[in-house]
Order: sequence, then C-alpha cells, then structure tokens
Amino acid sequence: MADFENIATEQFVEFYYKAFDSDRASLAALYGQDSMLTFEASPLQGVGNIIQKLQDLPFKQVQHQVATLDAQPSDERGGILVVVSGALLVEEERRPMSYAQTFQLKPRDGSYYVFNDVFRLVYPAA
Amino acid sequence: MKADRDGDLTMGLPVKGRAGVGKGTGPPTGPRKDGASKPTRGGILGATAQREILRHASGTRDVAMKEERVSGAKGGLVELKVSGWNKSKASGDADGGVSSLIKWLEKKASSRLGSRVRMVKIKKSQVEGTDLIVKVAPDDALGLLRMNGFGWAGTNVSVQRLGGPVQASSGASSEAEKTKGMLRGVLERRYDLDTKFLNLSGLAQDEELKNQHIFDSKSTASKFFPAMMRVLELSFDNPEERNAAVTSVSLANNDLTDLAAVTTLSQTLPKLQNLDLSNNKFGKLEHLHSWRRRFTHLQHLILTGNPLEQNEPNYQKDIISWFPNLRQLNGIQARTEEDIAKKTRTVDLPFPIRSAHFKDESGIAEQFVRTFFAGFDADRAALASHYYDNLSEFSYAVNTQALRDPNGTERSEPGEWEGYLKNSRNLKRIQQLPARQSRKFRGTKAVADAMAMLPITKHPDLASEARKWMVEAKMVPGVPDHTGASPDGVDGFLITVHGEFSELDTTTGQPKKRRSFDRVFVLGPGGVAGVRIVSDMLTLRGYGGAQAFEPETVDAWTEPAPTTTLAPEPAAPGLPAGLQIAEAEQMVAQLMQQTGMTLSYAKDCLDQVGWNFVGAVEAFGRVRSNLPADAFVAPAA
Repeated sequence: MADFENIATEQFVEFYYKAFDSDRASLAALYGQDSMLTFEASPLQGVGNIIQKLQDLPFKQVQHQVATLDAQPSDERGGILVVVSGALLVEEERRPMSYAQTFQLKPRDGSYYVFNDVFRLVYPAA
Repeated sequence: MKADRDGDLTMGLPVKGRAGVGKGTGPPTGPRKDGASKPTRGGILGATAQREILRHASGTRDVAMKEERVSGAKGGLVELKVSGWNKSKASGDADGGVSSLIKWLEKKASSRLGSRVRMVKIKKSQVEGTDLIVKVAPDDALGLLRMNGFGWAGTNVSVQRLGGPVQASSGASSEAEKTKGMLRGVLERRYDLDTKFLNLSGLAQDEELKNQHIFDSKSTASKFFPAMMRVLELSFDNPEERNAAVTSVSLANNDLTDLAAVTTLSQTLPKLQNLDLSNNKFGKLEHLHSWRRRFTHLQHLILTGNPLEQNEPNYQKDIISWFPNLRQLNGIQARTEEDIAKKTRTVDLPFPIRSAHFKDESGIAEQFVRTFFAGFDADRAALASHYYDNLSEFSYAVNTQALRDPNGTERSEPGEWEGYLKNSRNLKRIQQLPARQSRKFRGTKAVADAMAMLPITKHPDLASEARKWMVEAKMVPGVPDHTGASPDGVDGFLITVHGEFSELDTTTGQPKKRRSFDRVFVLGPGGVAGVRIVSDMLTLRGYGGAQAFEPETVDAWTEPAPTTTLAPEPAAPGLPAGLQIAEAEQMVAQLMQQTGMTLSYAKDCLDQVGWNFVGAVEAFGRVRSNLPADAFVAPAA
C-alpha cells in the first residue's frame, strides 16, 4: 500500500476524533447513507441513525487518545481497513477507559467516509 | 457493655446481612483507656521488663529462669507472666478464673486473619501467687504479648515476657517491620472471623493508633490506610482467600468527606458484600463517585448520618444504580432477588455471544473463530496454509500504553514486549514507508514467518471460558473475490475478537504472562477451508481483564440488549385465570433459582405444567438430563 494511503488514514483518524470530541453532529460529514455502525452491541445503519446514536451517548465531553493505529487495504477499490486502540476520557468518569475501534473507509469525493464502524470498550473505568 | 461467657466484652457485633452493620459501635476491643498498663516500649528488654525479670529471678525458680533467659534456649518455650486477673469477675470460679482466663488468652491471641490461621495454645501454665505463668511456642508469644493491657472480666490483664528464645519477628529490627506488625495487630484486633467483618470504624479514636501518633501528621495519616490495606493483602496467599475471609467492612465514624484516603479498600477487597459508611461527612454523590463501578458484589450499603442525606435527598436512586447487586440501602430493600435474576438474562451460550450483533451464515464465522485460535496456539504454520493465501495480509501493533486490569494481576515490566516490538506496526510511531511496508505481511509464507516470531500462546477455551471472550461478527459486502466471478466483490465477514491469552514459557510450557488482545478479521470465500482471511489485524496490550465483557458494567452505554438471543423467548404465556403477572414472574424467578434454568426455559417449563410450581419442579427433575447446555444459566463469576 502506497504511503499516500497510510498518511491519508492517519489524517482521517485524527480528523474523526477531533470532530467526535468537539462536536459530534459534525461527524455527519464522515458517514454515508450506507454506513453501518456497531456501537457496543447496538447495530445501526445510515448516517442519520448513527449521528443520533452518537449524540445520545450519555456524556457531553469526551476526549479520545489514540495509542495505536494500523491499516490495511480492504478491497481493490481504495477501501481501507483501519484498527485503532486507545483510551477515552468521559467527563463523568475520573479514569480513562480503553477502547478498540475498527473502521472500514471508502473513497468518496477525493477523501474517505466511514462505511463500517465497530466500537467496543475493552476496559471500563471500573 | 456486658461480659459474655468467655469474659469478653461484647460489642454487639451484628450478624452479616442485617442492617446496621457496625453502625455506631463503641470503641473496639483493645487496650482500655482507663488504667491500661502501657505495653513495654523500647523492646523486649525495656526497663520494666528487665526489672521484672530480675525480681522474679531472685525468687524460688531463679536458677532455671536465669539460665533460660541468658542462654535463649533454642527450641524452648517462651515464658510469659500474666497478672492483674485475680480480682476479676471470674474469681468466684473454683479455680479462681484461671481456666477461663487461659481460654480467653488463647482465643484472643489467635490469629484469625490471614491464610495461615494460627491458633495459640498455652502449653503449660502455673499459678504463682497472683500471677499466671504460661509457656507458649515462640510464634505464639507475640500474639499474647499484644494483649497486654486488654480488658477481661472487668479487669485489666497485663502480659509480660519473662524469658525464652527470642524469635526473629519480635526483635523488630526495622521501622518498617515494626509498622507492619503494628498494622497487623490493628487488623487482627478489629477482625471477627465468624462474621467475616473488619471493623475499621472510628480509626481516629483507636488507642493504639493514637499511641503511634498516626493521625498527628498529614503524611502519616494519608499513608496509613493504604499501608494497612497492603498488610491485609500480605496476610493472605492470594486474592481469593482474602475476598472470602473479609466480606463486611465498616468505615463509619471516620470523618470522611471523600474517598481519597480510603480508596485502596476497593482494590484490596473488590468483592466486598457489606459496607458501612455511616456517620461520615460525605456531602454529595460525587464524593462517592470513585467507587461507582467498584464493589460489584456489594449487597448492603449504609450511608445514614452523612450530610448527603440533606444535600441530595434523592441520592438513593443513583446509589442503587451504581451497585447492580445491591439488595439493601440503609436497611431498606433496594432490589428483590427477582430483579437481580432478571438482570442476568444473558445466557452463557457455549459460544461467547454477548451482543445481539452476531450475524452468522451457517455458522461460518463461529467455526472460523474456534478453529483459528486453536490453530494459533497449536500450529501456526498449518494455520497459515489453511487460511491465508497469496493476497492475505497480516499485521499487528502493540499498545504499550493501554490500561490494565484494576486488580493488577499482571504488572507492567520493562522489556516485556521485547518479542513483539520488532514488527509492531503502529502508524503513529512507524513513520517511514519502508518500515511500514516491512511490517505488513502478505502471502502465506510471509504470514507464517511473522507469526512464528511471536511467542507461543495459549488462549482460554471458547466453550468453557466464554466470559473471557467478546466476539462480534457482521456480514460485509465488497470483499474481493479472487475467482474473478464477481468484480464488485462478494459478501464476506468482518469479525472482531477481544480476549486474552497466556504466553507460554518455551522450556517448561507453563503459562508465564497474560496479555489482552483485539483482533479484526475480514473473511472471504475461497481456499481449502472454504473461507480465507483477507485481512488480519491484531492489537496487543497489557492484560486488562474481562470486566468490559460483562453486560452489567457497561449498562450506561448500551440500551438493554434486544431479546434476540439464539433461543428466542416464548411469547407471553397464557396465564391461568386468577394468576397475576407479578406472581407468575415470582414463580419463574424461583424456579430459575432452584433449577439453574434460564428465564426462557423456566417460563416454558411452568407453562407446560399450567403454572403449577411443584409440578414444574417435578417436570424439571424428569427431563433435566435431556436439556441442552444452553438451558442453564452459567454460575456467576
């Protein structure tokens, strides 16, 4: 995979979490009608439902910290499979939580959008 | 305060489970305020003890005494003098109260707290005037000496050392050892084996702690509690024994405004069942916040006598939601057993499907996961040939910053990721293209070689240890099809697996280090197995436990799991006339408890016998051997 794609992935992920942490509504630009999200056992489809779910999450403030980021091509049309491991801190909790997130990105209009998104907390604040 | 049969001063220690655990009890048993003779400070041979020894040595038993003291006869018994008991309430006994005194000494000096329960035995005893001379094994002497000044049968007893071998621990060479011993004594004194209750209330009024000036300076005051917890941990061989030995704790009357000073309690006794926080100074819910997802086994909690009650009069609702197993708050029922039973609706299927999100066609994904991890443990070369073709890609990354299991079972060590870092592909760290490319492995051989470099692993069994796994699967379109038949790609699977494994020592084959991992697979059709791996991306991190996989702990994030478990719930049964829904639910809960069946099976069973409880139990007895494994709820962790 040309490094252009790795770099684009890095930029995309950074942009994604910035948007998530500052204004979840703005994530709408990163999903599409055919997008799918599995958020902690809740499956959703379509940008509308997805944004609704993300906005309904029970916290106002959140901060993501990406620890690892890896990517592989997911198909022959420029799709990318991205795996992220990191921590997030929610305003309610005093301790960060570890999460694992998988994105499947597809090219759109010279950039990418999230076609598939799977999110899991793998270690709660306890 | 009244004396019981043993001459103990009863403190009214309550039975576990009833409200008012340790609430407002007076000072703990221990050296009494009035006229307590101070334990000999300055070690065994302090001035007082020396005088005693000399005085006694000049009596009738002098020669033997002197020799014993001087030579420190090895293997011999330690001799102690117990005095002050002759005018006790038991003095009316035929023997002047001696046998009663001995029993009390043995009981109180015995160590009830820890993996090695030590029952003190007084080997020989002899009355001399108003003194009782006892001989005990050196290890027991310490426990008895600690009781110097204790109250018994209305009087104060003094215990002093006369002679005998000096055991290493009583020599208390270092400050640290002394402190440990002191804390150990505090814990022993405040622990009741029968009720498994550790009474840590009113610590600032504790005589011994006051004598040690623990609360005089801020630094000792703040270090004291965590140090005491550490000593408690050291008393046990393992966490299981510790958790089993102490199920109730009181922290009442400690002037606590928040949990900062005592927060280590939740790490030392995470499975605590009863907690008394009454009569402190907790003003708001947020001051209790850090224990919100701790103490998952808590059943009884007391918060009365805190300003919280006035400041946030509706705090109960929050507290009850914080502790999903809480049965009683302040002595008032918070949940019924049925509520608890209903919550654990998740059936422990042979396959660890926690989420509703496992969409599998003909069990392909399930079969793959089983085979894959078995192969990864047993024979990676074969695994590579089986599932990876010339276009398959594998890469992995190590998350060295990941948070670890709160129980700290696997501590972080320097160099612990050595075997992995060479090929760890974290794009945040690996910035150069050649390095990035060399860490991604494409094709059967490259994948096999890369996997061979990783330490040998042993994953927990998917069937019997389902709780340690979290597997999700969904079908995805557009997976490249190498047969060329579908240029747009075909449907495949996106599988995410979260779990743990142990690294095996190459020489002994024994598990040596536990890790957590997250692995993502994209599967497509093809290959010998009918399934081939298109992408395999692995993330490795320090062991984080499996807490996140239990539905209760993440209920703030999820909606209640939709009831599309693999065994669909039966439609609401037609209840016989006169039977209320509430009663029916109660029957189901009771049947579940008695038989271990899941909600849906229990309902079914009752339905089949027309909601006759006895009939249901009988029916269960007849058919149980034919019931599949998923008819039963797995035992709680």
